[in-house]
Amino acid sequence: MKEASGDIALREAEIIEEFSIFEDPMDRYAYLIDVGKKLPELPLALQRDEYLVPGCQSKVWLIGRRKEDRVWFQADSNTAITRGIIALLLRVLSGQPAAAIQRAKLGFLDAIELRSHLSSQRANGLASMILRIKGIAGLDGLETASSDAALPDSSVEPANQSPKQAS
Amino acid sequence: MSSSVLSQPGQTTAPAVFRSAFPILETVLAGGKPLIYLDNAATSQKPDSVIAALVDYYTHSNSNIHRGAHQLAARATDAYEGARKTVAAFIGCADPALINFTSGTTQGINLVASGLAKSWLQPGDEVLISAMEHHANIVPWQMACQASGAVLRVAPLTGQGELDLEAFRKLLTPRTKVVAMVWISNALGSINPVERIVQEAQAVGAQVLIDAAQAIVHETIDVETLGADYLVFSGHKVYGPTGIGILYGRRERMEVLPPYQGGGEMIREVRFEGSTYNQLPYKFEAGTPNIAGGIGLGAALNFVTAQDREALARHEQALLERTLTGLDQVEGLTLYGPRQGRSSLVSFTVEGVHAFDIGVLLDQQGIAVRTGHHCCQPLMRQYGIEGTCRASFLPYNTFAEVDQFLHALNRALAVLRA
Ligand SMILES: Cc1ncc(COP(=O)(O)O)c(C=O)c1O
Repeated sequence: MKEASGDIALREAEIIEEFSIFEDPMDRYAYLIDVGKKLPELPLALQRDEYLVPGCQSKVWLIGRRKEDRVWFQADSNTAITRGIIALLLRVLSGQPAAAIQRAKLGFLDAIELRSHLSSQRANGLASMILRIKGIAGLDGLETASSDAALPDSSVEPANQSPKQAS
Repeated sequence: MSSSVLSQPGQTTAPAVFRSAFPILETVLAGGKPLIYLDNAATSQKPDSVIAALVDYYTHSNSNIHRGAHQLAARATDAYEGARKTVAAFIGCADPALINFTSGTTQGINLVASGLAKSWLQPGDEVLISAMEHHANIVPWQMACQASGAVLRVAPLTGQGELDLEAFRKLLTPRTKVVAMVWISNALGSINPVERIVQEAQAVGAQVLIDAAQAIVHETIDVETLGADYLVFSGHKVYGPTGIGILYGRRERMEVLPPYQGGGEMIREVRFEGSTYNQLPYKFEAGTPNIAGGIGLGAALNFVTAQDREALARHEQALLERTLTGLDQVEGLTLYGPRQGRSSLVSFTVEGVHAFDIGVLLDQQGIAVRTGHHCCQPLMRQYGIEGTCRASFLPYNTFAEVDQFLHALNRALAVLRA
């Protein structure tokens, strides 16, 4: 398992380490929200209904684009906590090989106790997001997302996203 | 935890004793936080006596009712029909045959709306509701209008989130054949002047249905004084089980309303050429009913009757006042519904912050509230919001819980605005 998704595993481990210093769940959420603030905003023109992920209590737009065997994602939400979760998912998965994305178990969500802390309805929202990400990775030669204008350069290298808003 | 919570200065012992009847309120959540349950408008918690009634029924009396020739069947039938009498007495109805068990408010409204679509509404007639209705008091009427050719009209609200009575009166015309109105809004806490609404609507010849889903636990109801043609509520909002509810209807209405579902129990005689229907209330109770639920509801209403309801209502209003005073201090907070004369819930948004985020961060601190549209999407749309954060109280809540809620809210907002 590990060998195929080495890069993903590495990024997950980084996140687990970052979150491990918080004992109070409120501090963990404060950090998550902070992470979300650094996610580049999806241009208004791309906040279209066709990109909405169904099943989320908050609005989540998700767009993917494939280049050769890798897939890049761009996403946004209208709520602060969901933005944080999206930022983590993109940090782990965006730019990875499609096959590795589809296989990813995303254990870090449990390790940082995110999944267990969400109500089942919200956990379903998270599950829908992951399903959509994997679905996009599973499409051949896809352009779910669309036009070439869809992805600004900043999303190509998700690990190095420059903060949009200072925190 | 309960003893420290309950020994708050200024709190009488009555609510403390009341609280001790609800075992779930002792829950300690993951992370060691005591549960603070402020989602009472969605459903109430259940006292020992209701839980015991359900266990007792399944332990000693479980049997199908009405038809059995044996002792258990008689025991179950007596308990179920006894519960019907308890319900009748609780809402001031002299005739238990006018009390129909349903699965809840939603089914009660659907039963009436579908019956009136077949027997009462004509093309061009009007059904009048208000802008604060729950989806359960909107969609069945849209379906009834579609089936009958009637037209749905919506009475607007004032800037305070109360029914605009003047606009309501303008919409009341001889074409108005049904008025369906909520007593207490679950999204705003507004209390409608239902007696007046009933009188004025009946004066133009309309039948009136009152949605008492929220009112049943907060108001003392007397259907004969109220005079509504129909009144519906759910057991689970008045300390009873889920899956059981009540439709009360005046005899002259229920006699002519066509049955909702066909099946066993609701018939007098069945022939392949056609069937005749049973008398009230069985005409509307096809199939094996929720026997345990009915008995549990009876136990819940007996529990309420045994309380000093006035003292509990005063406590509830004091909780509300303390909450409102606390919310006044929160910057950028908008309260929906009137400041004065409201039921014991607060529904609010905070500028620049999504209600969902507040809900998650309150949950992290052990506080159960509801966020979202509260099944009132048209109302939310009118306010131009997606949803609100709602905290709703019952008399088992304490002043300490209110203070912890306010503290937790401020902490959540500090995180979200950092
Ligand atoms: C005012 C109002 N009407 C109707 C309903 C629907 O009740 P139920 O879901 O129990 O049928 C509710 C419950 O949320 C309510 O608050």
